[in-house]
Amino acid sequence: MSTGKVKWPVNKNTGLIDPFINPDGSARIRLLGRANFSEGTLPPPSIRAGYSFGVANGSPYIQDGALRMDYPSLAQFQGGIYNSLHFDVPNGHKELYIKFDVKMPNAKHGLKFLKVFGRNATGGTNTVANTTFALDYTGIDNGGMNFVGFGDGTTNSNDTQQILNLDGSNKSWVGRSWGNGASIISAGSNFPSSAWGTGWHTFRLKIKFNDGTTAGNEINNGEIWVNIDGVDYVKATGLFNRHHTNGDIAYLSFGDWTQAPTGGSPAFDIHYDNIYISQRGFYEGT
Amino acid sequence: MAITFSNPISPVGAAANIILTQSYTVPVGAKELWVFVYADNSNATTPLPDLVEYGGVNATLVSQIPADAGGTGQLHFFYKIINPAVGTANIRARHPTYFFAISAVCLASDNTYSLTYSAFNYANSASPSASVASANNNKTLYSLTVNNVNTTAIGETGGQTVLSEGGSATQAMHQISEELSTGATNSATWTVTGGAQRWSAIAINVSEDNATVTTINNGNPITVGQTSVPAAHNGFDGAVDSITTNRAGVTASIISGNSTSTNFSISGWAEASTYPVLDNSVTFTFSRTGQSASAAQTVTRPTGWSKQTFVGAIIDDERLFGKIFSDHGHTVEGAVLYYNPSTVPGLFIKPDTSADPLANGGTFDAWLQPSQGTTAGKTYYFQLSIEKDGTPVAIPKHFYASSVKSSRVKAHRIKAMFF
Repeated sequence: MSTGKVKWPVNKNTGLIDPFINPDGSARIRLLGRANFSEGTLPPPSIRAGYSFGVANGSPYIQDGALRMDYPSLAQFQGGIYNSLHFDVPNGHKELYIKFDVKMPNAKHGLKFLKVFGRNATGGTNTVANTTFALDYTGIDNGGMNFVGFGDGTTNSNDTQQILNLDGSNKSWVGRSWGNGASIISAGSNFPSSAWGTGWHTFRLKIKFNDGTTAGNEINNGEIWVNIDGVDYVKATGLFNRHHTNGDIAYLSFGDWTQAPTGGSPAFDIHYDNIYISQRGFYEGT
Repeated sequence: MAITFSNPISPVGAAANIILTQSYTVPVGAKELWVFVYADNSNATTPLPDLVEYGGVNATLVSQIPADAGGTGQLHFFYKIINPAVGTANIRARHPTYFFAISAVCLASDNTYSLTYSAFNYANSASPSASVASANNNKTLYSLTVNNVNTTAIGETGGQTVLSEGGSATQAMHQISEELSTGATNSATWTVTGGAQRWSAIAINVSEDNATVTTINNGNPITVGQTSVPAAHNGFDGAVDSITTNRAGVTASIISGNSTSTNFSISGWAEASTYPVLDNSVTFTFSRTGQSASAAQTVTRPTGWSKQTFVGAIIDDERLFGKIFSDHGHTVEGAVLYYNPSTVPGLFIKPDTSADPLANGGTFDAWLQPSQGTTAGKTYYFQLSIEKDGTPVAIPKHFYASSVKSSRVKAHRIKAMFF
């Protein structure tokens, strides 16, 4: 026989002992990955077994202690994954909090920006739940963030069939959970490309895939949350955003795909820094 | 299944009311002795033989071929004795009316079997045929034909075996045999020549007397390590000698039993021992010499216990169970944990090895079964505790007596003892 003991603090709000509560009652954040690029090497080192960064595409590089991704000038509709920094997570994660600093100091253009890739029923990454926190590259407001794309799990090919608009418009576009428990709180505006300027901005993005393994037991408890520079642009709960046969989150992709709208696009560069990926809340440390 | 006909005899004919006596040796292993009596009949009806015995034991009439419509021909009577005495004794037979003859065979087996006399044919035809369908398990068809004429072809692979000559040169008893597969139908056609072209046949299904297990644990799942598991069965000649399973680590020990029931126990979880992941269907095979029967039943965790399969297991957090298991050398990802939450109300362990908040801690029993690593497939017993971090510790009495003078200070100091 083996023995083991765990000690849990008391949640001062509930009176319960809780493994994920700090003694002061605050949530105990679990940091899964950290990339501040201070080591000067890519990919950034892992801080926890099973979680790792990797350069999946292109040639991102470190400049001034941050990750820089250069995108070329594109002719009309010429698209591709020119840069990508992945963060792979082991099975068992339906919910992640992602916080990072980012700037686009020169030309403004859109790209996938941060894409969440899921697993399928057998652990693969085809026909899965994907969610994209994208910057517009369609020409509406290149470089601005207008929506989050995802699928509502009607089919297992679950990508960007649905739209969560940052400005709170057309809420029914979130799909089948609308009118069935979905809640969308919006500040009423998009994050326009003009807001980029030349400085750093802090993005806090939360993704939670809804639970369930069958059509009968799936529940719409998915969440998407976009906070930029401390402002909640949109916070949606009660979503269906995963097909019940699909699995958990597989990896995140920073940068990723871009293409040009009609008329082409200029070369642009985007810089990421202080990436923190965590559970149970945004990691606010350093 | 091996069933053989042995010691066919060819007794001479005898007149009515004469006792025909024929020495016959029943071999070791014989299950049944079959005696065929021929009565030369020229009438529509023929009485039964009034004596058919072996070693003084009366044989039992199994069946008889009726007289044909023409009122002529011979009747065949089929008698048998179950479990005849092994050794040499006399077959004795007598017919009250007609000239008759006897023929006998022993049916021996190294297994238990059952016999079904499923076809019984009689016709006037130059090309008679008979057919037998296999009803369930594999069977051996033994079609014993008795003809009043010579047969020239049997239509069966391997031909025929003449078991005996009847009362005249054209009367003979033949054996053909063929193994039938499940659901198969066998047909035999042959040509008879000479005489009245009359024939008769007894088609006999010989099948294993399948012992069957009807219920295990009264149809309910068996709990791991259950010490008294009732099983009901039939078809066994006696008590079951052993029970084996198809799952490594699940063994059965017979407590008591007879031909129709067995009470047994099954092995439970043991430290560092192999056991199937539960719940799991386990096939139990009950055996005794020459007989066996199997049935499946689910083996499940103890009543009231919970089960969790770890996915996304966290192994580096001292507040979570995953670290405990990992520290003991187990690969936690994919492992299964069975645990008894009854001693810690509200306990629910999650796939990442964390648990829901609780009103109180406590100690509980658990068995871990990794699926990967060096300990994969084996079970390990843990006694786990959840404690409140910050529980007030006992304040030494001297703390109040010598150090604390005011209640305000005491309250402050006591608060400091929480952590």
